[in-house]
Amino acid sequence: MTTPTYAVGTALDGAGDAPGAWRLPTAPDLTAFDGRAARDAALLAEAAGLVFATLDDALALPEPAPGRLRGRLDALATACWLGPQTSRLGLLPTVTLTHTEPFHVSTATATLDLVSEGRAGVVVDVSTDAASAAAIGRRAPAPADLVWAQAEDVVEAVARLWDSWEDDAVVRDVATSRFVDRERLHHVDAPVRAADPGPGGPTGAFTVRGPSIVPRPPQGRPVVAVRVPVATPAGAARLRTAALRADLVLLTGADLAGTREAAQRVRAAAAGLGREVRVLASLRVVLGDDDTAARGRAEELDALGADGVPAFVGTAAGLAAQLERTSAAVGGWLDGVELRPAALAEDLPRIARDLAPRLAASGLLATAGPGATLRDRLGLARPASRYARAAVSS
Amino acid sequence: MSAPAGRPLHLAAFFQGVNHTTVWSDPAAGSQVAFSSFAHMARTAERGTFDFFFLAEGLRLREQKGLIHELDVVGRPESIAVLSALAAVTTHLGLAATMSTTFNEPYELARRFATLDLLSGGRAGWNVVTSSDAFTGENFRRGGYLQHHERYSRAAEFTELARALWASWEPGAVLGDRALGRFLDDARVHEVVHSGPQFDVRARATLPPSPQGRPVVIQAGDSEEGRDFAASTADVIFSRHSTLEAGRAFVADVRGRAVRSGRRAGDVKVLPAVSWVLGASAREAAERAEQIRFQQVTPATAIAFAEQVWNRDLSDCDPDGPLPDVEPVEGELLSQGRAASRRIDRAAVSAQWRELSRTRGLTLRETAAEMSSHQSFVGTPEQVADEMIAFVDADACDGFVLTPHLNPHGLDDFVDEVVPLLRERGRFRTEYTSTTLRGHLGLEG
Repeated sequence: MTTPTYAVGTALDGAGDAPGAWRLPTAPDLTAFDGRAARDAALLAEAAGLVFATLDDALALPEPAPGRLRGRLDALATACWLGPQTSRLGLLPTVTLTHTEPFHVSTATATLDLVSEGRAGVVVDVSTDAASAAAIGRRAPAPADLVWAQAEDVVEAVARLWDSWEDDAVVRDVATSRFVDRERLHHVDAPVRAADPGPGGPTGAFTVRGPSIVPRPPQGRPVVAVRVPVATPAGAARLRTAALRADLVLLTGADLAGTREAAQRVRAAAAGLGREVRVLASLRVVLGDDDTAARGRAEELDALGADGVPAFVGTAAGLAAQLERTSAAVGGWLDGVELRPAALAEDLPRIARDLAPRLAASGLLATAGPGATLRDRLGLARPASRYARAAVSS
Repeated sequence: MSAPAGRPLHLAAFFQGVNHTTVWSDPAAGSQVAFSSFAHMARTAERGTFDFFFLAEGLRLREQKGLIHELDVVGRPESIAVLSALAAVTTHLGLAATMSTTFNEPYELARRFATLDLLSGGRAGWNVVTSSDAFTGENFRRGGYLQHHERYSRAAEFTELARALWASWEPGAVLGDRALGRFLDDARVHEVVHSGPQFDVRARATLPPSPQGRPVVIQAGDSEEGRDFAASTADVIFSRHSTLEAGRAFVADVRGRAVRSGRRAGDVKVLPAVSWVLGASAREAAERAEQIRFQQVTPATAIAFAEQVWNRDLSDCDPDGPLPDVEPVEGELLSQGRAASRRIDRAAVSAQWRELSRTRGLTLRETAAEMSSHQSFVGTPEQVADEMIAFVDADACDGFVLTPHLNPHGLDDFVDEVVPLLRERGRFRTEYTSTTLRGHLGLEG
């Protein structure tokens, strides 16, 4: 039924991916914290036929830094708010797992899938910062390898809870007065492995009893994505979590050419665990009518706040050519791209107007059929519940 | 202390998710989880210019005799996620979620409510609950058993901390100065530092206050501690005292407590949960009400109710026969995940059942239906409107939280037939005069 398809998405965060983007005269007004900038961008991305949109998040307010945009809405709630306002766009908010109860992560993401009618995903992340730990106040900050190892287990618990109601658990059987069939509802409480430094330290091994309080979501399991910086070494817990738990891996911190080795590393890690993952580049883009104009825009953005993040700087035609060359379908290594418009107000319209038609023409961007879920558009099969009994023929 | 006659009612709509009173067997019953169900009821409530839409919470599926309870509607979406989506399809309606202070952390929950409050333009409400049982705690990494008295001290500390976070950005904190590159004025973004028995938190909020200042706080506790907490803290009390006499006593009690804690009597709005059945005549309404009670209390549900009261296996009883001839037992609970099962005075309640059964000659099922499901207002639309107004005029409440017995269309007849009468009588708004929930409720910020 489903075949792997190239996935083109966009980031909706703030005024764009460049730190100074909010200072441009064209930038959307973000001072009301009312979600409108994200909504306008989501509607534009959807109209352009893009497959998904991501929303960044972090628990704590970042430390003051000159020129920086600070403060944000909870990404998962914002994605839920975007759900009824969109109809084809996949919605992937970042959710940090380090301090949040797995049960809440599972029920809220399942609900995003309900309110978007099957378009939910989640970019799972961790918190290693002292500010997030102090804001929750339950545990000390911990190093990345430890919290990613824990995140691996949290994603497993979350996914078990998604599966804990079989698809047909609600029976509404008047003859027996039963709304649900308890045989199709499952405890999920096999212990989840974790390295546990003990009380007072980071939380370790845990069980969650289940079943969930939310029936199985439309996609069965919302799509799970993990960001992996290209410099992540082969033995890192983050890479293992991505290889073992993710549907999508988003490679960060490089231009397209720079993602090649990391893509191979991720695929090898997944293969070693008996899995396949979709590997996408996460790429900041600064577009212009010609290369000179694009470079001028990049310089203008850098002058408003530079962070050294690699970017594609050039024309939509140039970007389309690079994406086509690096696509796995033609011998490249990428299954898609998360475009991060440097300035939402300028680069997203160029993506919609100049890039998307080129990608559609070259087959990298397919039109969504009516009612298509995010899994459908990514060519990912809807998984059966791990608890479902083998079908009995009658 | 009595309020002036003629004051306006406040109305809320309750989309029920786990209970026996939602009739799922009716051909008109729709999905309990599809967004379209929530959107329909919320839009209906907004068409009726209701104050707010309300969702409950349950964090573990109920069990009876060690098995998941199968007879009632169950399985519901996460509340803040649903309300965030509803914020996109409504414009004025308040959006309130029940959220436990036991199984959440203040910073995280305050941030989620602040987000809902901003996305909705100032329409968020939080029903603060204090679930505490170890049974529910098994769904959480941190567990969660608290002693009863600790429940309210945790809730109070949690609420105080959430309010401190909601108030931590001063007016003027958001500069958005593009030329100077100053988005925030950090002198006006205050760190909240809290150290108490339950929480040890040091945090800066990531969000400014919404147009209503901060989410409305609702409370439903009924114990001594619960009433004190509600009277001293809450903007709205969601009460279970739905009869006139009980309502009057409750309102007098919590208003007294509010005044003793330094608030004005009117600072707390009391809204009992009520049900209703309409008919073209009083008799038709009464007949419909009885039919609905028997849809709600099936033979199997009647046995389950009796088991909750008697706390023993009664599967051998005939639902169409007499009440059990055995005595209730104390000890380990047969029913898990229901607050009411823990509170119940088994001797007194079983005696009430027996008295009702004897004096009216009712079977077990008929008795269970009377005891568990008697509707609050039954009559013609005129009778229901007048009776509701009489409740408010008698100081039995400030309005009502309406609990339909059908999803998602259960609110339709009330909005179509009763709301216009309340408006005609000058007792309910004909259009919204405010854009925030705090504004609808007439509460100060």
